[in-house]
Amino acid sequence: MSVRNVAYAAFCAVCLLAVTWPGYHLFGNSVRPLVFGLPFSMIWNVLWIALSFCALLTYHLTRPRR
Amino acid sequence: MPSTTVVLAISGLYLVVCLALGMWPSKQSSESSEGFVAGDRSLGLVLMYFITGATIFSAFAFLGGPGWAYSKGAACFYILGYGTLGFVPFYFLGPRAARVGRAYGFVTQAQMMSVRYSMPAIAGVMALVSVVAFVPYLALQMQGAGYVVETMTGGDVPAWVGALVVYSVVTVYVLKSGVLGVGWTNTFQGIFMMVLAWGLGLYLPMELYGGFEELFTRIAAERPNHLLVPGLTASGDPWSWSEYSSAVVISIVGFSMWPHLFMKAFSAKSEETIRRTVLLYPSFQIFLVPLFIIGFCGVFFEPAPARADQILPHILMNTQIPSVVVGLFCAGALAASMSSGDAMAHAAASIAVRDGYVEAAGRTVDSKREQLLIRIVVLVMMVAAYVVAVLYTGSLVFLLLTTYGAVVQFAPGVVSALCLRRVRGRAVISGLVTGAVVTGLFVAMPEWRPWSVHAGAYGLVVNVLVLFLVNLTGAEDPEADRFVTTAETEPG
Repeated sequence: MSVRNVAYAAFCAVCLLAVTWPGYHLFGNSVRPLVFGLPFSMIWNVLWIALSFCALLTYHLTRPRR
Repeated sequence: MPSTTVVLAISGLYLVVCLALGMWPSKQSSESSEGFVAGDRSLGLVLMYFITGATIFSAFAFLGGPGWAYSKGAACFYILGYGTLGFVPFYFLGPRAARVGRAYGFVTQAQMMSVRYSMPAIAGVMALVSVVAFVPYLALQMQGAGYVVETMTGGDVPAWVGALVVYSVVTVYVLKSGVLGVGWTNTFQGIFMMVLAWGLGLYLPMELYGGFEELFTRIAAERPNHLLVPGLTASGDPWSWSEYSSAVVISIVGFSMWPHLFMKAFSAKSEETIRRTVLLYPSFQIFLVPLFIIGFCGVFFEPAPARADQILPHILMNTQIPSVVVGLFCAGALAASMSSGDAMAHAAASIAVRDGYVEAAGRTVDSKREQLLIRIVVLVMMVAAYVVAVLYTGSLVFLLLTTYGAVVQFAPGVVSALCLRRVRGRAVISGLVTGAVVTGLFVAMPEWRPWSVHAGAYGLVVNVLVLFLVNLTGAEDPEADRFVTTAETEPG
């Protein structure tokens, strides 16, 4: 497996742990700080959706061309 | 109270636009079943993006999302959670499916499985599960549409008439234009829904509470647990972390397996289109945020609605909002319902004919006749779902969850079909059937589960175990080898 594949798989694992137990429970599950007036527990997920987008975009753009 | 005339005029205008957009593309696709079902494999990024996005966001999301945030609190965040990786499997599986689709001429998921495993029975089982899953799903969309029309006209138009009119329009454009009709209307409906959801999500907290901060500070002060995960279950009991987390995982695994989504791999113009569609998908996921905010607005809203999923129309009917906005909302909710309903009816009919009638039963049917049969089945599906929507009084959501559990069980077989050379058909079908039975059992009898983990997770574990055990004696098969090589080989 290439470095690129390993890195993306590792990201997916971290992301999965972040939006479920234990990551969410430890780091994301609080109302404050309110971000743009929205609870942090909701923003936490939005943040991971954004990070996941960036990770897949990077993976996509670094695709070896034939 | 908003004026019924204005609401009906806006909704009517919206339906006319949908009909016009849906009818127009029928001139472009060919008369073959490949044209009707897969749009001659010509769908570009814009159509693919909206067809997948708008299909996923159904009446269920538009009405159920706010209802869930309102009554179960942060439990609804699990949908955002699985959205992080939900479509990622399709980034890898989609292009592989597209390659074999082109090489072998597939238009459905079950057809692909049947050829890969040289086992028409798999197509039969998958067709059965898919069609059984789609009827309650479609009926839910119809009920949503009917209900919205009834509420927003203050009861002047009964739900059964609303659903009948709206779904007659859907039936006409699906019959006429197939997948391309679905694509163009979904593009329009998708944009409409997004604008409306964000508009209302920003406007209502401002109007009712003075802003987001005021709203959420108040919820945090008066109901601190309402904004904390895992929240509450459907029955109102506290949800556990194990169930919340397993629900996220199962949804990620199962999401791409929905036949009406998966078969879009065969409609895409290129592999790049599939990959980009997956990349852009989070923009649709973020669209749930304003819907949840609307639900949270309902927490302190007096009077409370009779049912949680009425919260959004309930707020609109009891707030001083111009009739035009109410009319637009009504059209937006119809868009959510129709954009899922049309794709489901189209997919279910294609699957029933192609996989059930042709593939599993081993018939040969010429392309024109197949297209005619699919059109007849679209009509039959619509009527069946309409009858269920109007007459069935049991829980459609329960029926839907049970069948979704079975759809998730497609995953091991589909992944093996495209990636693992040595997996044989009998192993896949044994795993699929056992997994579906175990899931169905635990959905029906949740108290029988050894641990509080999502019912689908048990099914999936059993499915994979059975698949590997039965496959232990599997020999090499040159046909399967060629199939997987085709799936792996990037077009150069």
